[in-house]
Amino acid sequence: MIKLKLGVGALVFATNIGYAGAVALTYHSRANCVGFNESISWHLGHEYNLYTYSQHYQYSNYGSLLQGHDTFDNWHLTWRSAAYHTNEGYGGWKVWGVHKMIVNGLQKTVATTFATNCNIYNGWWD
Amino acid sequence: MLNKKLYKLCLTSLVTLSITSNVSYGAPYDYDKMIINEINERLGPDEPKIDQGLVIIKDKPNVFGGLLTAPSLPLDLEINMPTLKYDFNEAKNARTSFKMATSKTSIGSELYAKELKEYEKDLPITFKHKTFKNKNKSLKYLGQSIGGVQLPDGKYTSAIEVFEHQELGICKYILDDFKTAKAGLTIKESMLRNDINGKYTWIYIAGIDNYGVNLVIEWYDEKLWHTLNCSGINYTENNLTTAIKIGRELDLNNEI
Repeated sequence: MIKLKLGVGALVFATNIGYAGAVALTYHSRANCVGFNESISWHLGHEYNLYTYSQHYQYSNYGSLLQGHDTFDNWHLTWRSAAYHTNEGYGGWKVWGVHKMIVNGLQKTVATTFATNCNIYNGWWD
Repeated sequence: MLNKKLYKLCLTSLVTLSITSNVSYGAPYDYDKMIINEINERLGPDEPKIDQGLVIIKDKPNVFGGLLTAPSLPLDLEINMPTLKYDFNEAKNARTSFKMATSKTSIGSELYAKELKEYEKDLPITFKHKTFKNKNKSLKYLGQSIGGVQLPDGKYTSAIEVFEHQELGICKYILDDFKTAKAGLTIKESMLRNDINGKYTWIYIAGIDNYGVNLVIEWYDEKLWHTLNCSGINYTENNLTTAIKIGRELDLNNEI
């Protein structure tokens, strides 16, 4: 079991190209990650007031909407804000993330992210 | 004859499947307006909406003329002089930024150095950007990196150049393609200045003197949001004057 987990970890690691989130803030959404969908913001070692909102929609292969719901990680001082659902993300999901923060004394909606797969995660594994 | 019919049937099915498959997942970043509206509705009446870009609330008549460009006024730091705001979290962030860029021993600084190394030659970003490397003798160039949102084609919506300055500390020049990132900011005109080449400018200085200070200048134009964030240990009013001068140079250099 441990070997399997290590193998999956190594596979995920192998798909990552490069690093992000150490020098500045970065935002992602990921879908169909075999067990979860999520939207996430982070900046290593730096704390901000962050809020992340994530909408998840599942479509059939024929394009009809099967289900949809949302979740959020409420405002708090953190280096990493993640809104996610486990026990889903096994195919057909679209994820929309809204990333808000208070930075430099201003409240901003800093990014909106969208994903249909689990590939986009250009950073070190946490 | 039967084979031909079967062949046609198979071909039609394949085409149909291919089309429905595309409809199901859509093109990358193909926004559904209904979903955007739904998300915006949940953001609340006073919060910046996604995709809105910069919205200036005009509460300061007869000072700024245009939407995103202000008439060139002389720099007068005596009027609304920004002061250092005491903030422990900003102080910690400033100290971390400074240490991660200058130290070579912690895990954070190793990752920092790796990230700069990764994007040494090429910045996969959504907009054109001209480097400021070797353009100002007081700034020692440390490297460049990416940030913001990574799109399905691998490009990012933010570019970052990192410099070291003797008085200001570690300075990051961040350029955000706010349109592609679907970002939003609402700000009152009375809160803004025009120090950076007549563009709408926001100055924020926070931290604890002799521990860690973030000196931030943001300025905005139609294409990009610019941020100069200098993290140092001390703060003097002279630092702000120096940072404004650097900001003006950065802005002019980036005009392509």
